[in-house]
Amino acid sequence: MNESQMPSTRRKFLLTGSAVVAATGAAAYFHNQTQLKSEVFIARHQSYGGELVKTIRDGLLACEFDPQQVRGKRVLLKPNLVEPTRQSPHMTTHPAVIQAAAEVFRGWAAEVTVGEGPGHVRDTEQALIDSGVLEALNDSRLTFEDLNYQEIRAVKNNGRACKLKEFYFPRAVIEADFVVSLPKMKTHHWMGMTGAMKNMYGVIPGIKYGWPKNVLHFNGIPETVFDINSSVGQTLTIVDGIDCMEGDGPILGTLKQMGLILVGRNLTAVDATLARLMDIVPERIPYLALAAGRLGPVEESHIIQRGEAWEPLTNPFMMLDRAHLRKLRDSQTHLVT
Amino acid sequence: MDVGAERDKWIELQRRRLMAQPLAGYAVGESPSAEPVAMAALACIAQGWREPAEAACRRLLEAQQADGAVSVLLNTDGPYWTTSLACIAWRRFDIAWPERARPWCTDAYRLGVDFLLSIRGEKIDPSENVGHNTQLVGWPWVVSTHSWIEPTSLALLALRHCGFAEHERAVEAAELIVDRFLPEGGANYGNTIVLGQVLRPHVLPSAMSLVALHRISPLPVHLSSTLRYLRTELANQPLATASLSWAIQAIVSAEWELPVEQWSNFEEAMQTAIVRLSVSTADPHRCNVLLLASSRRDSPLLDLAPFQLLRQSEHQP
Repeated sequence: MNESQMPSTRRKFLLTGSAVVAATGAAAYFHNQTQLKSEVFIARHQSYGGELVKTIRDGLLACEFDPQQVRGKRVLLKPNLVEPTRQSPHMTTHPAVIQAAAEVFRGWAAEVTVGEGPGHVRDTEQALIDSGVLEALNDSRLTFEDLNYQEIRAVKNNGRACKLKEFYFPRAVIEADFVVSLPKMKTHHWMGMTGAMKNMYGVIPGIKYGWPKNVLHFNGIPETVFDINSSVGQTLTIVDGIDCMEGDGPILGTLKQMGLILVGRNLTAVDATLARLMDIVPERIPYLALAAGRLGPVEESHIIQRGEAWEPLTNPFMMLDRAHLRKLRDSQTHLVT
Repeated sequence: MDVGAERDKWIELQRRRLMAQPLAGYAVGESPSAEPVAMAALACIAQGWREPAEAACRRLLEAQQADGAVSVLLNTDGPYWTTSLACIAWRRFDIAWPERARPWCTDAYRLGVDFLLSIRGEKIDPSENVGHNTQLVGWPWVVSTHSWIEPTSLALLALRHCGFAEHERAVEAAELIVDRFLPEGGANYGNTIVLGQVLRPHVLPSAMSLVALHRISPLPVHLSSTLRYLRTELANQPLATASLSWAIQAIVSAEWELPVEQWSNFEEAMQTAIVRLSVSTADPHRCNVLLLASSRRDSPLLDLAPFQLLRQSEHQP
C-alpha cells in the first residue's frame, strides 16, 4: 500500500509529529492538576436491561460535561476485557454498558469506536467472543480498534513516577479526542482495587509491552498506572458497578451485585469514590496516593457528589487476607483466604 | 454444501491474494509486521507457493539487524520476540527451495539463532505467591522482563527447526513450558498459581505450547490433560481464528503416531472459520494463520524430528 492509498486517518497518524502528541498529553495533565474539585455521579438500582443510556447521559450532564465537546469528535470507549471467560462474566465490562455509552456519545454527534488491548489474552478476537462484546459490536454497528496490534507512536511520559521516558500508544488512542475508561468495579489482589485508572493499562500495546504487559510491572504498577493516566490525553469514565467482583480479583474473584453506575470527568476522583464504596481507604491505594492532588482529587471534601450519596451505598468488598491488602482498610473484616 | 469444494475455493482465493500481496499487517490497512509476514511465509510454504513465500522471507531479511534480531514492526525499535518466527520461516524456505534460499536464508536463520541465544528472561525471586519456577529463564516478550510461555514456545520451535534441539536453552525451554502447565492441564500466558489460586487456561497458549513440544518423549505430565482441554474447547465453544488454527495444529501433533482412521476431522470448524472470515473484513493475517492450519500434517511447523525431554522432573511413569 502506498501513501496515497492509505485511509486518511492513518496517513494523518503517520505524518503527525510526536511532539504534537506529547503536547496533547501534557495539556491534559496540567489541566487536571489545576482542577481542585471534581464531580462524581452515582446511580443505584441499575441493571443491564435497564435504562443505562439515560443514566449515563444524566450522569455526564450532572458532572457538567458539555455535549458540545464531543460533537464531531472521536470518542474511544475503552472497556475492561483483561481475560474474558464465559465462566466469569462479572470480570469484564458488560456489553450493555458499552452499547449504552456508545448511544449516548453518538446522540451527541460524536464518532464512536471501541478499543481494547487485553492484558492476558493475545487472541483479541477470542476475548471479544468470550466477553460477548463481539456480538454487541455487530448489533450496534460499532468499529473495534485492537489496541494490542495497531500502529504505535512514542508519547512523552508526563508523569515520570517510573523511569520510562515515553509510552507507545496505539493510533486509536493518539487520535481520540476523548478516551472513555469503562472499567469493571473489582478488587485487585495486588493493588486492592481496579477501576478507571488501572483500566488504562489496556491502551498499552501488547506487541510492544508483552502479554502480560510485563514492562509495566517491572517499572512498578502504581507508578505506571499514574504515568499512563498522566500521558493519555482527555479522559472520561463510566464505571460498570452493576455486577462486580470481590475477593481474588481482578480475575478469579466472586460475583458481588452492587447495581451501580458511576460517571465522572476525573478518573482519580471516581476511583477514590469507588474505593470508599468498597470500604477501602483511597489514600492507601498506591496509585491513588500518587495521583492525589496531581491528577485529581482523592480527599472527600474535594469531590462533589452527584446523584446518590456514597455513604449509604458503601458495602465492603471481600479482599484476600494478605498483609498488603489488610492495610488498605481500617477494619480488619471482610477478608477471605 | 460440498465442504471440501468450498475449502478448495477459499484456498484458491488465498493463493490469488498472496500472489498479489504477500506482505501483511495485523489488520486490513496496517503496515506489514514481522509476525504476519512470517505467518504468510509459512502458509505459502505449506501450500507450495514459492513466489509469495520468498517475498515474505526477503522482507524479513531486510528487517534483520546486524545482531540477528527482527523487530515486531520490522524497524529497529524492538521488541524482538518475532525473531523466532523469522528464523522458522527462513529455515522452512531453505528446506523447501534450497536453490532459491542459499546462502541468504541460511545466513539469516543462523544469525537469528545467535540473537535468540543471547537473550533470556529475567529471573525473579522465588515467592510463595507465585506457583511456577521463576529461575528458568526461557524467553521474554521484551528484554529485561520475565519469561512467558508464548515467546518461549516460539523460541523453542525456532531452535528445533534450525538444528539446535539439543542446545541447553532448548532443553530448558521445554522444561519451562512443562512447568507452566496448569495442574488440571492447559496453560495461559504463563502464570500457574498466584496467591494460592490456580489460574485459568487459554486456548492459544495451550495449543502453542503443545506444538512447541511436538513429538516430545517421554510424554510430560499434563500433556494429555492439556489436549483434553483443547478438544473440549473446540467442541463446546466458538474459537477465534488464531486460537482455532493453533488448536488444530496442536491436535494434529498429538495424533501424529495414530493411524489415519483415528485422526480428528476439523472440516466443520474450518468451514465455520472460513465463513466468519468471509463475512467480516477479510483480515489477511487471520486468513494466513488459518491457511497454515488447513495444511494439517503438512504444516511446516510440525515437520520436526522427535524431541527428547532430557530433564527428568515431569515424566509420566
